[in-house]
Amino acid sequence: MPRRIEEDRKDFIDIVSGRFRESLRKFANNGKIFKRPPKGGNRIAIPIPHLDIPRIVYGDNGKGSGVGRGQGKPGDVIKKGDQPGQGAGQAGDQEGEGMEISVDLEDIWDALQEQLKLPDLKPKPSQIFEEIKIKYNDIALTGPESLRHNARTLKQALKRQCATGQMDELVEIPGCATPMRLITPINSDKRYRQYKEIKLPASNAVIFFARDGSASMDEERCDIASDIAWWLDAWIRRFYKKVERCYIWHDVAAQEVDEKKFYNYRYGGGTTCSSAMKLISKQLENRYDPNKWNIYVFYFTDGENSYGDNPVFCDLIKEKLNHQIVNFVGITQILARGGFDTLKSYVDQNIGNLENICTTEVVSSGLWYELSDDDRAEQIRKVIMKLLGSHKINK
Amino acid sequence: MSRFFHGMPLLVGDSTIPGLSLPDELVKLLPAIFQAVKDLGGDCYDTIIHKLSYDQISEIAAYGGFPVRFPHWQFGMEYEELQRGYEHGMHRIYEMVVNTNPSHIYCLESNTLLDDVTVIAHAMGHNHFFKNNVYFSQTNRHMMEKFANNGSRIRKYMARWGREKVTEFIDHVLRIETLIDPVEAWDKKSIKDLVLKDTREYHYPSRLNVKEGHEHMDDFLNPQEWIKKQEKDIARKEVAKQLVLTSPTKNILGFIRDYAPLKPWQSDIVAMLYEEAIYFAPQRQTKTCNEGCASFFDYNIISCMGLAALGQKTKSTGIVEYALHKMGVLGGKYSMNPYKLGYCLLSDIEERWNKGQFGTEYEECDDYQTKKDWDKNLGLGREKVFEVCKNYNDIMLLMEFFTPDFCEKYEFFEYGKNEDGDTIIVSRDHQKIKKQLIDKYLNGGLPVIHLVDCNHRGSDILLLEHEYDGRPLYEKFLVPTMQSLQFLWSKPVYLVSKDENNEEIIYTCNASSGDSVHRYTAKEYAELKS
Repeated sequence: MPRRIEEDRKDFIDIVSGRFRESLRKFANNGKIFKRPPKGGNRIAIPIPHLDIPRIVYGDNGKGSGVGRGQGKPGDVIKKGDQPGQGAGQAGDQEGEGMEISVDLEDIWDALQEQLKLPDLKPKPSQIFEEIKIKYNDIALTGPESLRHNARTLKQALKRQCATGQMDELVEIPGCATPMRLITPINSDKRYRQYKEIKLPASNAVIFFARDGSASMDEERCDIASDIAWWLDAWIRRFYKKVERCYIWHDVAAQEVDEKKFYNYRYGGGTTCSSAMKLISKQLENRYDPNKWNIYVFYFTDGENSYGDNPVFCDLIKEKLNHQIVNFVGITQILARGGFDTLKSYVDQNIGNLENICTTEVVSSGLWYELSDDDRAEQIRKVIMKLLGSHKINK
Repeated sequence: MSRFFHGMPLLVGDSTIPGLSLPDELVKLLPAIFQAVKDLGGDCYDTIIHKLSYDQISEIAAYGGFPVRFPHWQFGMEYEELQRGYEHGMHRIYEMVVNTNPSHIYCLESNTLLDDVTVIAHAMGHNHFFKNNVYFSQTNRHMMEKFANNGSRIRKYMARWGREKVTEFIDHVLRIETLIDPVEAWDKKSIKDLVLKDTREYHYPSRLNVKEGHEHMDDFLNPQEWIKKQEKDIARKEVAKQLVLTSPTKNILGFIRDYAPLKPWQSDIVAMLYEEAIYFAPQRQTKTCNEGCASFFDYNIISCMGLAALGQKTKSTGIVEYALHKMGVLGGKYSMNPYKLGYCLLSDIEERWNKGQFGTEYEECDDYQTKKDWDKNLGLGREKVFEVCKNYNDIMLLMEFFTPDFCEKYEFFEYGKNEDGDTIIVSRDHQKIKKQLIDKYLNGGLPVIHLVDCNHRGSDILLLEHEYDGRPLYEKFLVPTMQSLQFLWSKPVYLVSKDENNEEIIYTCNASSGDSVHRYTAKEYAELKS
């Protein structure tokens, strides 16, 4: 019988991961984890998921003030900014704060996988076995003397001598007091080590991150895009030995940029989304042979595209980035301004049923496309869950 | 105090917590500890000591100290938090005590011998407090069985009505769990019997008889206006027969239990949860007092009476470890937690009553030096501490003993944030600090909500009023709470409060408006009404 608490725990995890009682999720705080860790670190502070039972309580006007003990005169700073330090002991007993622990990224992913039930990524089924490794694990009758397998050779000689009855003969050996039995291998007894070629699957992946760089993609949208990209990248890296990334930035024309430029905010002129797809398909022809690479494409947009470009965009995906070539195409639309006439809605209508395409969006409930911190994290969580949790990702 | 069971299941049959057996060296020391508790003046229930592994103690802690509770995700969440925190070395639970008779003490398996001695002494302090404090006098001491029974009843309902449906209902009730009046514990009214009969009387307007063949006269003999007027009178009479609240009450959950139109299983669940809420209420009211009392006990027993040396190789080894242990609990120089505050207050009381620093003579003395050196060698300290433990709760303790002298002696300050986001010391004003502390402890730090009318405007609207004290309510949580209340009461719920600018605002929650909560100012509300 499972322990009772384990049942309750399972209920809780189900609620937090949104599989059960979706309406309660808004009181959970675990979405906050989707922020990037500080530069260069692979540890991140995450709150343990916590679900508040809403009760009538006071507002948070009491936060940041309280009563403490210690020396000092009025006006003395006891705690700098947001840094944790010796302050008054208010930490921990405020409701809804949750507890933060610092853990390895690996651990987070393990926990997330359990919590969000993300499927493992699988390489393409048509993957060609590429990498050849040599291993000496076979025996041959011929070969160079330097590879002679002495133990096997002697064993063979012993067998032969036993069979022919030669073992009973005692031979005088100079230097030994008594005559002894002797094993003498002949040429046909000799065995040699032999190598075998082992074909290992080359689990290489390339991730194309492409984003719209037009003037309408402002700082906030870029920021959301880079946060999402970071987590996607970290996830895919778990499954492949070698992951290459290719960052593409486009306004009217697309260009390949380095990581730094991609994540930083800068803008150009108009928007032609198809240019990015064109560049990707070109890269696939030149650099990344679809037979040898697992290919993931993630595209970030604000939903705006130049007139008449949407069909081009869709056609390109259909022809050049279909499921035989590309493992997965994820299109994320961030805070779209337009109503129904967005890139996402067009893609959904026309090629949404393709086997390897998944679209998501970040939406804001407020006016002016503002997102509160909680909302933002929640939205990012949803996008990541939808992209990585999509069953299409393994098609 | 001689009954020790170890390695036995707590509840035969239902419980699944097996427990480990106590180490022999600890069992040998127990009589000495209990003797010390007696010498100190402690008056405790019989005690059962359990040694548990961390998994088990987390489970028990998540269930609030009991091995079996009703199934609910909130316990799972607590458990998850405790487990993860322990895995990452954030905290550990040394011990737990529950308020039952006999009292159960849970000790962590990995405790050292001195840890065990300390936590048992500490737990005996709690035990003493549970037995003697007046606020605990009405609690059910057989709650462990009660919780198990409640659990199996709710499991039964889950089997009958579906786990999700019952959990959802429990969620609704838990949201208003804090809206109770702990004083109700003294009201020994048993749970209301389920009323399955419909006892309502029906009244119809009286009509004049119309002779056969004269039906055309009906409109003249029984005019519409007259019929309508009668209907109105009847409605008014029926309203008068309905519930009338004689005085505002804090006990909203109790009111829902008694009068809300719930199905039998729902009624039963509300009654069970109400009982549990009432059981836990005194613990919330006396947290500081309770922890102070327990810390006072373990300090006196371990340190002053020298039990730190129990089972140690040399006489002086234990005390350093004890000091270290206390450091972890009471914290360093700047810390402020209920343990520390309670302990400081009680030791201050002991010192003052030992020296006779109380009464009119002392209060009226103006000379600083005389006051400081005041020592009449009365030795009443311990007696006073026990008296306080018997009769006080947190608010009373703070009100009476958080004096300017105490505030100064223990270097209390009020902190706040400056423009740069740094936390700074704002003031050392005794009155302000006291107000902050009292705000934190009054009504368990929760807003005081009264039910003022259960038949507002003659149409069964539940009218609640928030006792505004300068702090507005947190709307994000208020909204779902009101929706839950509305769900349970199945009629509209209104709540009157004030906003930051001291303007009156009214929150309304109607089933007709799709359960959404609307917020009106007094002016808008008046317009809406008319």
